[in-house]
Amino acid sequence: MRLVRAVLGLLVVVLGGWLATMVFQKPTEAQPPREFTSSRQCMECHAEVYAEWETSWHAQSWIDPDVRALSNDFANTDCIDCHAPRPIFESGIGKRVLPRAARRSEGVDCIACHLLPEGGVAGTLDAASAACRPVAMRDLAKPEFCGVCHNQHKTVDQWRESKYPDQGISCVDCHMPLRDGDPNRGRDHRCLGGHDIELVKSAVELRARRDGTALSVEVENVGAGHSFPTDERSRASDVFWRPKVAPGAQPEAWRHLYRFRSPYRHEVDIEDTWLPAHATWSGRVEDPGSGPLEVAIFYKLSPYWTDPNAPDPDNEARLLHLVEVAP
Amino acid sequence: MRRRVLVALFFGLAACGNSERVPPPPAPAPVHSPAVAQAIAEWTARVPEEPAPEEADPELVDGLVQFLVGADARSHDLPLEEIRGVGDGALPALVHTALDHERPVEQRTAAIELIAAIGTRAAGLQLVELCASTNPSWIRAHAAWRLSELDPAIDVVVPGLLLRLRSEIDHEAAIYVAAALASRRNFAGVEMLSRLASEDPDEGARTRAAGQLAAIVEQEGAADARALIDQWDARAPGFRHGEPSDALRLLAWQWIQTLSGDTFQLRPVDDARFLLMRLGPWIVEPLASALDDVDPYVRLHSAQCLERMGAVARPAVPALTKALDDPRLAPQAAMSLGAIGGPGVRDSLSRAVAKGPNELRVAAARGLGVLGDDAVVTQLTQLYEDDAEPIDLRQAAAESVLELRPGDVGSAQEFLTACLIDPAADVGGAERALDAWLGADGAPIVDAETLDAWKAAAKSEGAIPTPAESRARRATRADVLRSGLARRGN
Repeated sequence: MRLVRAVLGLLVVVLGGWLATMVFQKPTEAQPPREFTSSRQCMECHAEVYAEWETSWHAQSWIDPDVRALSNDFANTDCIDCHAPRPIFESGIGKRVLPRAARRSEGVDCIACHLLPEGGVAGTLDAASAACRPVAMRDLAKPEFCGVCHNQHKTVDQWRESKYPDQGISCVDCHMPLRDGDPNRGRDHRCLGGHDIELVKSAVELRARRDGTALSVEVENVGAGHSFPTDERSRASDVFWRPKVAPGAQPEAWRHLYRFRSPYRHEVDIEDTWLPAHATWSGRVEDPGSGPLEVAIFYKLSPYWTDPNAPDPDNEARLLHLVEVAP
Repeated sequence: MRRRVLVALFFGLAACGNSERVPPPPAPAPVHSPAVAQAIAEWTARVPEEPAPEEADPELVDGLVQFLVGADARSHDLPLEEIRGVGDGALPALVHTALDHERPVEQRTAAIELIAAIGTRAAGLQLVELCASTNPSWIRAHAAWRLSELDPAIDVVVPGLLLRLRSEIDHEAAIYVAAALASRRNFAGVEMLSRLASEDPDEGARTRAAGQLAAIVEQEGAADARALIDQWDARAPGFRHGEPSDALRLLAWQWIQTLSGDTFQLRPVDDARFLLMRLGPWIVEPLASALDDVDPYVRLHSAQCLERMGAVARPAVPALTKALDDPRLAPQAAMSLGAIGGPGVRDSLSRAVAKGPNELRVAAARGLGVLGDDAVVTQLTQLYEDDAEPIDLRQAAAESVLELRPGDVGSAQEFLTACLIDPAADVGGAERALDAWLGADGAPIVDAETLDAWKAAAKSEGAIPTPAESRARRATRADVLRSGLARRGN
C-alpha cells in the first residue's frame, strides 16, 4: 500500500512538473529557415522550376564533358569559381563569386542564385510561412546579378553599350522569358543561351547577293543583346561559301570567308572579331564564278577544326543560316 | 513517509528538468587584420621613390642609336657608356625607336641594347614592357635576352618575366625569358626549357634551349634540371636562394592585393596566383600572413597559391591549420594542407573529415587523398560505405581511396561505378577518377576486354554531346565496368 502511495505521489509530482513546464515555458519561436545542403531539396516544392533547371546548361556547368576537357578536368581551378560558385548573395552583387568545395556536381544551382547569407532565399514574393522563407528581391533580375559570372568576358558591358538598356530589355527578357508570357507563371529556368541553336539563329541575319562579278555577304547582329558570339572565347561563328551543285551531285567543299570570335590571350596573332550588338559585317568574294552559290553561317562551341586547312563545318559545327545566290 | 515524499519530489523535479547538456558557447569568430594594407605601407616606406627623370633630347638619343649601329668592335662600348650618363631620361626615346616599325631592325635592336646599358630599375621594367605579347616576337626575344645581362640585383623584373613565361608562344622568346629569370635565381622556367630542349619540333630551338639549360644547371652546380628544380623548391640546405629586394617584396604584396574582391576580372587574379606561386620559397611567409587578411578573397586565393606550391609551402602549415576554424577559408585550407603535407596534417584533416560542416568534410576527404598517407583508408572506407552521409562526401572519400591504395581499393571502384549513373553524384568526377585509375594501377584489376570496352566508350575527341548522350555514354561505361568487375569476382 505504501508503495502504491509512493508511486502515485511520484506520478502526481511528475505530472505537476510537466504541466508547470507546459504553462510557463516560452512560446515556441518561429522555426529558422530550412538549411539547404542540396538544390534537390528545392524540387520538393518547385518541381517545374527544378525540371527546367535540370535540363539547363547551368546544371551542366560542372559535368559537361566539354567544360571538363577545356578546363583539364578542372585542374585549371580558376574555372571552378563560376562553374561551382558559392551563393552570389554571400559574395555580393557586383563582386566575383567564390568557388565551393562541396555539391560541385550541381553546378550553377538553386542555392548559388537564391540562397541568402543569413538563411532564407531570394525570390519574387515575401512568404514568411514557406519552408524556404523567400524574400522578394528584385536584384535577381538585374544584369549585374548575371554579371558576377557572365561579365568575366564583358557580356554585360557589351549589353550596356547596346540600345537595349534604353529599351528596358535585359538579360532575363531573352534568356529567362516569362513562361507563356504570364508574369504569374514565373520565369523559364532553362536559361537558354549559346547552346540553344534556335536562340543563336535568332541572333544574326545572313544576307548575300551578287555585286557585279563579286559575291557580297553581310552578317548583322539583329537579336543578341551583346556581341555575337559572346562570353566564351571558345565560341566561334564562321561564314563559308561554295558553288551550288545540281541535286544529287557531290557538293563542293566549303570555302572559308570569315570568322567571328574573340581569341584567347595567348593567340596574339588573332584579331578580336566579335560582332557587337546592332553591328553589320560585310565581306566580298571576288569572282566566285557565274553559277549558283551557297553562303552559310555556322556556329561552333569549340574554336578548333580537326583539319584547320580543310574545315568541315557540316560535321563539326552547326548551321545557323544558309542563303542561295542565283547565277 | 515524509522522507519518501521528499525523495519522490526530488526525482520528480529532476525528471521535469532539461536532460540535455548545456551546449558549449559558439567558437569565437576569427579575427582578421588588414594584413595586406599594413604590409604594403611597411614596404612602401622602405622603398625610396625614384624621382621622375628629365626627358633626354630625342636627337641626342637617336644619335647614340645610329652610332651603335655603325660601331665596330673597338667603338661599340662608347655609346653604351654615353647612354649610362644620360640615364632614365633616355628611356622614352629609346622605347619609341624600338617599337617604330618604320626603322631598320638594326636600329631597333640597338635601342634595346642601349636600354639595357642604362642598367637601372626603370630600364629593367621597360625591357619587361617590351616583352609584352603585342610586340613582334623578335622584339620580345631581344628584350628578354638583354634582361639576362642586366644587373641580377634588379629583381623587380621577375613578376613581369613570370607572366611572359606563362603566355609566351614564341619558343625563341620563351627560352630567353627563362634565362633572364634564372639570372635572378628564379628557376620557374627550367622545366619549360627542359621540355623545349627535348620536344621542340625546330632543331635550332631545341639546341638553343638545351644550351641555355646546360649553362643554368652548370652554373648552379646541380646534377641536372630536375635536381635544380627540386633544390629550389625544397629550400635545400646549402642551396643559395635569391634574397628578394625590398622593391620586389613590395611588388609581391601589391600582387597579393590584386587577389582581393576589389578585382572583378579573374584574369588578373589568375595572373597573380600564377606568378606568386613561382616567386620562390620566400613568398610562403607573405602568403601565410595574408591568410589572416580581412578580405576573404585574399585569404582564399592566398591559400590556393600555397596549395599549388606543394611541399615548399610547409612553413605555412600552422597558419593553414588555424584557418580550419575560419568558416570561409576552412575548405580551401583543408585542400591546401593535403597538397602541402607535413607533421600533424593527417590528424588535422582526419578530425576535419570526421566532424564539421559538409563542405569542410568534403574538402578534407579530398585533401587526405592528395596527402597520400594510406593510414586513413579505413576512415575513408567507412565514410563512403555509410549511405547516411552526403553523396559528395562519400564520393570524395571513395576517390581518395582510389588514389591512396590503387592496387587494393576494396569496394571503392564499385561505389564510383554506381556514381557514374547517379544523378545526385558528380558523374564527371567519378568518370575522371575511374579513368585515371584504369589508366594506371587499376588496369591489372580488370581484364583486357573490359579495359578496351571502357576506352571505346570514352567521349569522342572534338564531339559536343548533349546531356542525354553523356548520360547514355556513362551508363554504358558503368555497365562495362560492372560486368568486368563481376567477371573478376567469379
